[in-house]
Amino acid sequence: MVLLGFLDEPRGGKMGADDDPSNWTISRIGGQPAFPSAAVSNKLKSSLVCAKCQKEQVFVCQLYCPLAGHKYDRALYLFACRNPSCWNASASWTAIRCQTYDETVEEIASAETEPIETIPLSSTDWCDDADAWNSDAEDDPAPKKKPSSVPTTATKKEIKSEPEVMLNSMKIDDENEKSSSDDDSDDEGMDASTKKKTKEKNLSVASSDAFNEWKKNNLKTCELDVSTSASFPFYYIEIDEEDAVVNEAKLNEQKKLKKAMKNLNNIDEDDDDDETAKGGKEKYEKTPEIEHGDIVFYRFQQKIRYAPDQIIRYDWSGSPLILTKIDNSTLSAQKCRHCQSSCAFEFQLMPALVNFLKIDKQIGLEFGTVFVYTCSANCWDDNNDLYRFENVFVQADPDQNLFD
Amino acid sequence: MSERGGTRGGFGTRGGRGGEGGRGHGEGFRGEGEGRGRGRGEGRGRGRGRRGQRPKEDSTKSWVPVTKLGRLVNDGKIRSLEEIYLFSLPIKEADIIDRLLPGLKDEVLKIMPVQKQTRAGQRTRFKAIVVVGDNNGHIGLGVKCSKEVATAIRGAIILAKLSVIPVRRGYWGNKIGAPHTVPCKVTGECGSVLVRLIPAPRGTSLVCAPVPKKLLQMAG
Repeated sequence: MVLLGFLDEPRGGKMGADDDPSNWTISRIGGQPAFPSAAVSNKLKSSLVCAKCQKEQVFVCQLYCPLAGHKYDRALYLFACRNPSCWNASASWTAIRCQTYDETVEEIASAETEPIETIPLSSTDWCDDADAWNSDAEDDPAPKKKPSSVPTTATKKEIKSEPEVMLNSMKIDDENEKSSSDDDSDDEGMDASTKKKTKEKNLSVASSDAFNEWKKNNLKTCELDVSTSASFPFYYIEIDEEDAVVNEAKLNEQKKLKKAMKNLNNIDEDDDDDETAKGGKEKYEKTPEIEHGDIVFYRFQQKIRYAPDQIIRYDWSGSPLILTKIDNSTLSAQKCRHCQSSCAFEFQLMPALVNFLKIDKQIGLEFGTVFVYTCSANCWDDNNDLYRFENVFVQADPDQNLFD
Repeated sequence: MSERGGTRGGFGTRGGRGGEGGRGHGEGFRGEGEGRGRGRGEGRGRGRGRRGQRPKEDSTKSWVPVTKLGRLVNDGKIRSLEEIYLFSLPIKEADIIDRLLPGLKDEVLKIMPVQKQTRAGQRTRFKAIVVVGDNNGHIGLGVKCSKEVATAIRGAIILAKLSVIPVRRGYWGNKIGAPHTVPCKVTGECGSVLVRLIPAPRGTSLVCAPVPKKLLQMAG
């Protein structure tokens, strides 16, 4: 179940009673981070520096994300370096996790905790060669998603209960249905040869003097003043489930298209032979590839097209939506810095967020998309810990190399 | 401690939106969020009313750029499509074209059903061919196949916008006034089809079959 975050009101919005900005259990971007206790912020101040340039990092966002059956209030914080030369580098981002034990949460008798399988990325090329027709006729060949098993801390209760197992499996089917919806079947099978084409196309790009001149005039990243400790504008985050948003958008679309279709039915009656109307002689052809050749980005766009203004995509132990092609093993091989257990994907920042990270009306931070991987065992020491570090992986904009 | 999760609820697999529209089996796990987050549940109930901040209709009208090029276009740093062509930057968002060519028109050339034989009979899909152009030097062609006609047309329009290309025009004879025809004889082939464009004097207009006529008119 994927949750999407959208931009909500800025601080001091239209409604009078706003959430208290110092409440650490709300999700927002910009401003200053709100930690569970002052001790955390004191201890952290020294460690929030960029690994590459040693400058102070700026606060990007905080998410309140408790896990089901987990007796903790849990929040994640993201910091990044504003230095233009450090943009798009994973090393210049820091992710912090803070937890506090909360008695009032009832812990569910956990279902058996299955080992976390490596989940394939959402827009890999493996299905490029698959005949696109199959995806809605037969079963979705995608490997089954791991059931959303309840994560626990070190003590695991292994109570296997029949109804819960069945509930788990019911959930899997739903997600499979979702993934084999009309959207996927619309994608044409793209050949692997397009990858080669992309490389050729990139080579022919002008890296000429004229372009360099234009870049100097228009991009002006060097003039950003990174010495001042500014912060991004403060916005709250509104959260919605992806399924709900997508379904609603599809309904709206259908209504609009119905209107448009009425006009259309008049047009194409002129030159219809009887044969083409039945489709007898036309054979199925693969439609030509898209002009720019970037299939992975095209799939990314297809996934977000019903909610293009989403800024956060939350999918605990799910799979990230990749922006550029990447080897799955690089991402899944990450290990927790503290307990050495494997890391699971938690959430990612979407490129739409870049538009709202402005300082003095100029873009203050750029990235393509940012994945945050957290410890799958949620390691935490109640007595000693104030915060723990998590892993961040940054993907640059697909054409970033042209603008550098 | 102030209300956990604030009025907007939190991410994470707990609670969250468990209270809304009992989603059958899902409730079993997230139901505990309901009982526990009394304050939060109410907060959400209250929140829903005021959370109309994100008007669902408008989100499709205002464009939120996703690529770097899109951001530059949105900010106005790139003023014309010619600059993008000049530096061979790949255009990956159709909204870029919308922004830079406001006078773009689209036309559906053909919708044809295509069939595939499966074990269970025939699977019909619709292939839509759409051409976009501004009648003044830009033309794009998009082809999309889909199970529904409307989806195919919409997808084809987007693909057509992504493939917009500039058209060079020239003169037949004297170089007076604005260019009005192709600069020279050009030939193009695809499969068994051969298309030849020959410059003609001003005033001849287009002499060709109806389909290429539509296309060339949109090109200018």
